[in-house]
Amino acid sequence: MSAVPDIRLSELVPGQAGHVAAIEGVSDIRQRLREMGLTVGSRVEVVRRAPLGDPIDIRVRGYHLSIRSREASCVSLSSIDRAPA
Amino acid sequence: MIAARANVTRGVGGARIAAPLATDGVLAIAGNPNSGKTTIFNALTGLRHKVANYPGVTVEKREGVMRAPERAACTCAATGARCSHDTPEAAVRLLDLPGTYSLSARSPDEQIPRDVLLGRIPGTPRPAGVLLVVDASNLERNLYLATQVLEIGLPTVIACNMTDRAAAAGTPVDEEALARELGVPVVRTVGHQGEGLTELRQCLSRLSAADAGAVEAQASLTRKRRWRLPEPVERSLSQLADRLVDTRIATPLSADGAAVLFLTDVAAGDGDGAGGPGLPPDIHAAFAEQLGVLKSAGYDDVPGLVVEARYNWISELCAGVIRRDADAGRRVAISDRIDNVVTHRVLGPGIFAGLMAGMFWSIFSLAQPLMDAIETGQGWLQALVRSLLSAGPLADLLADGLVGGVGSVVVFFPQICILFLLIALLEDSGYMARAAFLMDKLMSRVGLHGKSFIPLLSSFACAIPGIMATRTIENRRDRFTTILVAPLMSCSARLPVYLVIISVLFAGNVWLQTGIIFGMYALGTLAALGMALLLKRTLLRGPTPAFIMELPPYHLPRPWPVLRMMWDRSKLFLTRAGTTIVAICIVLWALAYFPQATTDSAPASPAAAVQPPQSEREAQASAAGGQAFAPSDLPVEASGVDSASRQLADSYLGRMGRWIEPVVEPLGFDWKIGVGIVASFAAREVFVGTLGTLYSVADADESTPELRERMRSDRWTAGPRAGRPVFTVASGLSLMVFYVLCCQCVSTLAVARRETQSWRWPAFMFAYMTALAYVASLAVFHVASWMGAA
Repeated sequence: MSAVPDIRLSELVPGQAGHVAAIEGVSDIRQRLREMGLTVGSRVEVVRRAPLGDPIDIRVRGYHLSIRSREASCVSLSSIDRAPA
Repeated sequence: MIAARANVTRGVGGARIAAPLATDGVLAIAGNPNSGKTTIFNALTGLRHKVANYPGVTVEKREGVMRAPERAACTCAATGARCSHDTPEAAVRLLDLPGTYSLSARSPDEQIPRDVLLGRIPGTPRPAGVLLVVDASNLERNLYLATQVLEIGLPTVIACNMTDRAAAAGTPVDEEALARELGVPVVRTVGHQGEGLTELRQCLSRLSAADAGAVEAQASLTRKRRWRLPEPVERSLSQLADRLVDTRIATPLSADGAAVLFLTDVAAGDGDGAGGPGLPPDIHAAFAEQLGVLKSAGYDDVPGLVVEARYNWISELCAGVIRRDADAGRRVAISDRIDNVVTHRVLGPGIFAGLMAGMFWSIFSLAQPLMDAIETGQGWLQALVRSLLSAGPLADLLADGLVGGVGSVVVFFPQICILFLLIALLEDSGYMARAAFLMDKLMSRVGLHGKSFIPLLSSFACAIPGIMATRTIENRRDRFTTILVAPLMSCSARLPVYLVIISVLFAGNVWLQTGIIFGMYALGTLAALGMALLLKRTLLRGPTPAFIMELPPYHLPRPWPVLRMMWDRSKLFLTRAGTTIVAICIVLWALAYFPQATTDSAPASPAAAVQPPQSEREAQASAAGGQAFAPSDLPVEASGVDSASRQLADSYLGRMGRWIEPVVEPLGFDWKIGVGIVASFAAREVFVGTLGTLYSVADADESTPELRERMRSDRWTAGPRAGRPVFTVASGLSLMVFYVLCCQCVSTLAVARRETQSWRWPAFMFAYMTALAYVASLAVFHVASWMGAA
């Protein structure tokens, strides 16, 4: 685990995970992401990308959520690590 | 369940009621989408539920009656009180709220669960209590909504559902601990196996029977928020809560919970102006004022504070409630393994294409025998009506107008049922979300959402189920765009029209025929995508909505809920759209029937032309009056069909055909095609039957060789094109393009009106599609003529 300044959720490759540092963007999208469990400090893992490259499938609070890269780029992460195998 | 019993005694406790008297209070069922809420609702209510709509929105209101549990059988004999317990009406009424992740509202549809729970919806009294369905295998996120609901202060029972899946994942939930933490009864359930339902029934009937004191006792336990916000925010909230109580928007028990919800909604604002809290202006201003105060105190992200505080509390709670196995988290769920294949880079799209192809095959091949049977039945019924009544307008009205009109609705029913069945299977299994996941990138190119794909694809079969399937799209603009372009996808009713034209013009050349049919489908699809792009940039422009969609775990579709879903939607088509369609079919029948040609024998029955071509007509043998129009070059044949032809030509419908001839003439159409187009409003495939009547061919369909011959040899009798054939490559292509793009389908307009809750959108749909069709046909006709295809 290493501290990485301002890496975005959209930049992770499948298998990587990180902890949410902040969520930006318009209030509607921000609020929806937070209500779905992407709160500060929560762990998110990128599971896979759709065959056409977008959207992505992430795991947060033990379930799968699909968001577009556009939304994922609103999520900045405080640290990244590899997902447990 | 120990947990259940322990807490029932403690929660509703003080009011252990000797005789559970039915108070007839409705209990609401709330929960996340995919929490198994609907399965539990179905299991509790069985067949007895009805579907309606909330006023002004398209959210389904599902209400059912729960059978009383055996053990709660009435003991009122002891009390001597008069009791209605042994009558079915005494059973508990349940209201299934739409599944939601949060009680915050950003659109009118999302306001429903919140407003029902606060008792703010006219015609829907505030529930007496709540059944909260929580997915044990996804507890943290499910508790987000659960805590919001608990804070609203209604007496609540929690069904901790899918406990089998939680156990399999190595994260079983300790229901007793959960009940203790939340202060409400928790019943462990596995909805699809019926586990825990007996206990749940007992809890619910106690809840519904509980008297006011018991309600107070339990609610006082749950109404208090367990998580705190910074002191200034708390102060604002308590002031606002008082305002809500003063203005009777909330009760003292629900005020704090409601104030939290409204504060976040007011803060989140609403770009649309469509959603939001729907508060009276002065109260709204009070919330805005407090937000201003908080902002100046440095709290400029109140919604964020609320979500974080709530989730932090939930995380702590879950740590104590979930009994983690040592290897939890290392187990790869079956669902993940399926997704490794189903959303695989190469296999995923292949599987998707295969499924969609299979879906189409089923719609066309499985529905056909049923549709044939309906048409045979309709013919039989029409013959029966005619045999019972003496010939005349009444018999014609009943046989052709009414039976024919109903028939034209019912004939679509098999296709609609099959399509809804398949959609329900895809939804219930969890695949629907994957389809949206796979297709989102493509759909986003035209500004749409992955969820628009299935509705558009369904529209290849019929736009009606396609439009109805748009309900899964949360964003209003995306949903309306999808509704508006769905009828451009070539539906199955257009196919007979394409077939008859290519058989007239391109006989013998199978490759060319296939190519042209394919071209028509491609044209419709491209037009739909192009229009979507245009609409999203103009009329329905707005910020790109977020694509945030849960990928729920897969599970085997269960027959009962799937059939139920299919039936509810299909029935909606029959009852709501159906009535409008039948009414308009009768109007079209009248237009084709009147005025009757003056005859000295029984009138002909040309109105059968507005029925599907296979319908059996009882053409009466009679010679029409001399003034009737007779296409000069048409060989005179059996006098029955011939008089029918004349009657139709002379009817209001026929006159309308001739009135619009100057309008459609530039497209290469003569008045007969004009009549066909007008008659097509009942259903597009009627075009073929109408031409059959006009060309005096009995019972024509797209494979009738006689009709083909007559269409080929038909010539313009007057005007600049006199003597030239009516059906040329240029006019044929123009006609096909017109059918691809034109919105000549009453059923589609009726359904669009229902789904958009306004006549404005279907009117716009009709206008833009007609304009598009006209311009495109004009262009095709002139370009093709210029290229020598005339």
